[in-house]
Amino acid sequence: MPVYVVKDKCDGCKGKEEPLCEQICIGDLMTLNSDTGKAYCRSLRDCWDCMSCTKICPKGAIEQRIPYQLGYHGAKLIPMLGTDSITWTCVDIEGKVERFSFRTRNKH
Amino acid sequence: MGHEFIGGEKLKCCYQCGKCTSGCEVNRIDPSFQPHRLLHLFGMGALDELINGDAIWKCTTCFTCSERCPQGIAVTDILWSLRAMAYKSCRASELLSAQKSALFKTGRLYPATVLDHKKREKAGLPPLSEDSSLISRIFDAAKADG
Amino acid sequence: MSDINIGVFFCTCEGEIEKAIALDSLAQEASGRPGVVAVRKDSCLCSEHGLGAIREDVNKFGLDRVLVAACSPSLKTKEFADLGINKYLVERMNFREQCSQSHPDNSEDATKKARALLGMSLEKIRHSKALEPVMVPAVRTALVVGGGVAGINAALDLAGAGAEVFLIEKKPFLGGRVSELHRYYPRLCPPSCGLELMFSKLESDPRIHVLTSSEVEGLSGSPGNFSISIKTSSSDPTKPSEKVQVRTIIAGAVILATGWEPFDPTALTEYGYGRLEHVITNLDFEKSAREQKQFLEQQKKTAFIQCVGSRDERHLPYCSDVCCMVSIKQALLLKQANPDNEITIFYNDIRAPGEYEAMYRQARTRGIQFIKGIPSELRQDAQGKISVSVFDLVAGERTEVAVDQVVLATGMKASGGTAELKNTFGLATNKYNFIESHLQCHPLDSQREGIFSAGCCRAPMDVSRSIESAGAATAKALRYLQGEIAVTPDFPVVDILKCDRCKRCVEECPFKAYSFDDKGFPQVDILKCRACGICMGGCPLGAISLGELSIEQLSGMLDVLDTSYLGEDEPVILGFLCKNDAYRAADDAGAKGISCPSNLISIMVPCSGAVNGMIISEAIAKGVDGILLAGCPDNQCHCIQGSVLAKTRLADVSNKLKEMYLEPERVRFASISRDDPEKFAATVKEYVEELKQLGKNPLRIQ
Repeated sequence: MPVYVVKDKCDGCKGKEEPLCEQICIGDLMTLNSDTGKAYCRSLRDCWDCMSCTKICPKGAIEQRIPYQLGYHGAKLIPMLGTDSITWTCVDIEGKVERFSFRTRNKH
Repeated sequence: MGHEFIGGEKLKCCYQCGKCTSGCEVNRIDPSFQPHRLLHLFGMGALDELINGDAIWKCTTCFTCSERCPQGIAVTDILWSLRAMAYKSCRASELLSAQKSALFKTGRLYPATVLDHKKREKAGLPPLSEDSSLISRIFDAAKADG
Repeated sequence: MSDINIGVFFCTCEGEIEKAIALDSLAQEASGRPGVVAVRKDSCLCSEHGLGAIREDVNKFGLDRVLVAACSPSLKTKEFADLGINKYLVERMNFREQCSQSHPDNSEDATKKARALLGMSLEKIRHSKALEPVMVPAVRTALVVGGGVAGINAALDLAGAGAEVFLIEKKPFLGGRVSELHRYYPRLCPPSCGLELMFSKLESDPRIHVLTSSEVEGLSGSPGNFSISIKTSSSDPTKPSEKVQVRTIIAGAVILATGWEPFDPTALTEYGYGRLEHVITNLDFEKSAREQKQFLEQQKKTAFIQCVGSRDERHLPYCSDVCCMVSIKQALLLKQANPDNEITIFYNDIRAPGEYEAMYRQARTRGIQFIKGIPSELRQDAQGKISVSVFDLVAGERTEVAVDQVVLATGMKASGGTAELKNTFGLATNKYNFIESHLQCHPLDSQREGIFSAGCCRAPMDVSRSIESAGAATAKALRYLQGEIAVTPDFPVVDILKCDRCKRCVEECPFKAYSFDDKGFPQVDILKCRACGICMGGCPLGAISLGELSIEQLSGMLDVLDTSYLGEDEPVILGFLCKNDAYRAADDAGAKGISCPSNLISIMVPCSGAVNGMIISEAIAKGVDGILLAGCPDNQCHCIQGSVLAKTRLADVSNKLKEMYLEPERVRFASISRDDPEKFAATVKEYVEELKQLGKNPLRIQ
């Protein structure tokens, strides 16, 4: 499920060296386009769909392209990160919405 | 009232320093024409007096006031807007009516003087025609209102 | 965490709290909670007897944490800081203003909300840490930049308070603009009198080092220990390259007194300055009066034109404060030197504040003419005199005078020296290039801790006010000159293990308190920090926490919040209220008896910009129906840009909610001013109604 950067929302993490998506990407695929100042994925076919970039982006500027086997064009998979939890919103091709919340850290 | 006319945004900024009237050439000759007073009345909403009166028609649009106003108020434009409002309310000074009649009758805003004839002669131009029928035909063809 | 001992203390506030909240039942519940070893109810906890009882219990039960349920935490702070336990281990719960007083109509609801507050505070307090003020050694040296009347007085005041002072001045001599004057008002003293006195004091004080022909080259370091390099050039103009000396001094505080520059009226071509002879400025007048005796004595007709260049949208949009009094002073000097001198002052308004009104009156009684009406232009007439034609607004007719000289009352601009400092010191100036931080509350601060302004570099002002401001700046600077600075431990701490060096904290800090360490991680200069929390709010990884409020605490509080505490059908709103404005407005609403729905639970934050987007997301994920961020109106934010940033972050969360097919209206911002409790109550009521329309947060059940 390769990623798609919404250019209006991306602020290039203030245009400094490494944006957050680049730092977190385990495949070293996300980087900043020096001309536009926005992030992009250097090689979509190599993306392993971990969605780390999607979760970490402070502006919520990264979206997934869901392949047809999982849900195709109308489907959405959106993570919302809390400090110790994550909430997933899944929308299928017919527009049905389901949400799942999980704890990601034990009590402090 | 507000921004619906050109120059409107800054009208309320006028702090009555009087620099416009001090520099107004019309005021030099006719002390009753006082741009600062007109702005004050306009700002207070006294539109009737302004639209019905003669004052707003006396401005020669020399722009000295607008150039020197410390608040950057477009005095000339505001007076012009008042003229437009007056015209829309079908009020026009007799001065204007007189000018309009003259224009439609003779093609000139004011009658030609001896000086004008002399200047034309000196420049080698033919004398002015007295026949105004041509003028009337031009205005009719253009379907201008009488 | 049940190995810490918690004591819970309920104040009935002489019945004021107990009439709406069932304290006994809450006390019963509290004693059953893990870790709670002591519970007490008292009629007045802040009294000597009440405080004594708490101290006794702290000893008797070996309490590690104290929870106080009483009035607003913004009240009685001194009393509850002295309980025999580190004051940061004491948590205050607002049971009065924002509970019993705000929800008097339905006491069951007040009790339900109090129960929810109790649960959240018990959780918060587990994470509290004992903090002590950090003592930072500081030097007892101050730097004053600018040797005019403000700078000189600042140096004298600082030395008088026991500091060592370096006074530097760009020119080869001290005295600034005042030394260029002939006389200054209100007593029409010659500047030499006042200045001589100041110079002799400067010379005789061994603590003051005066460096003329000197400029600041650079500044680094923190308040208490600024490192400043100063360049001193040769004071002999015939040997410019000789002896250029650069030295570095360490100073605890800096006072800037870089003064003003006169406005050049050449741009107003209608007055012919530079073109017409005998059209001069007020500063030219002073110079001529000083240098030529007959300038004042020789009988002539003079016209003054006020507001030349000032109060003018095209030049200096502000009022230069002194020009009315300067013209009156100059007119009085002319009359004093020769009673036959004829003077007319053409004015727009006469601004003679306070006791200066007497000078204005004196000018009128001495026969100086005042005409309201600003001349449009000046012309030279056939006799070589200057003709001033003006419309007299009061008389309602034109008048014309022919005068021998015209004095243009020109105003004050920010000086070039001030503009240079902007770069050297990294200072903020206002749109008129004067140094400004937050005008009302901090009139003397720049936006940098430890750097203050005095005199006309702050705003146009006269000699008395300049001297006064120097004293005030000295008083503020003294904090950094005591040999040691005590820093309140509410500053932020960065968790380096979580930090990813995205640099947002460094960028967004309004006081430039962050810098990079040698590995590129952000580090905060606790002396520059004002603990606004904007860094905590902006960190995308939640790696920054303030001393008094941490991300863990907020997250824990959200965990234990029962989102159905008012019942299944009532929405619950979490309100983050800024401590300067919104929280106090909420308190005020209670104190004034303005009733407010009990659906809102408030958390006090130092600034609305301190609220992290992840916490807001988490609140939604944990079932809170609505989030309210309430902060100061934009241009009043004490942290410069806190409200603006809060709105941006809220917008991001709102967008995310929209994508998730949740209602973006579940998060919102409100600008609440300190004195607007009605607006606060109305905002909450409106919000509750809207949330009822929207329905429960779908994530609430999980």
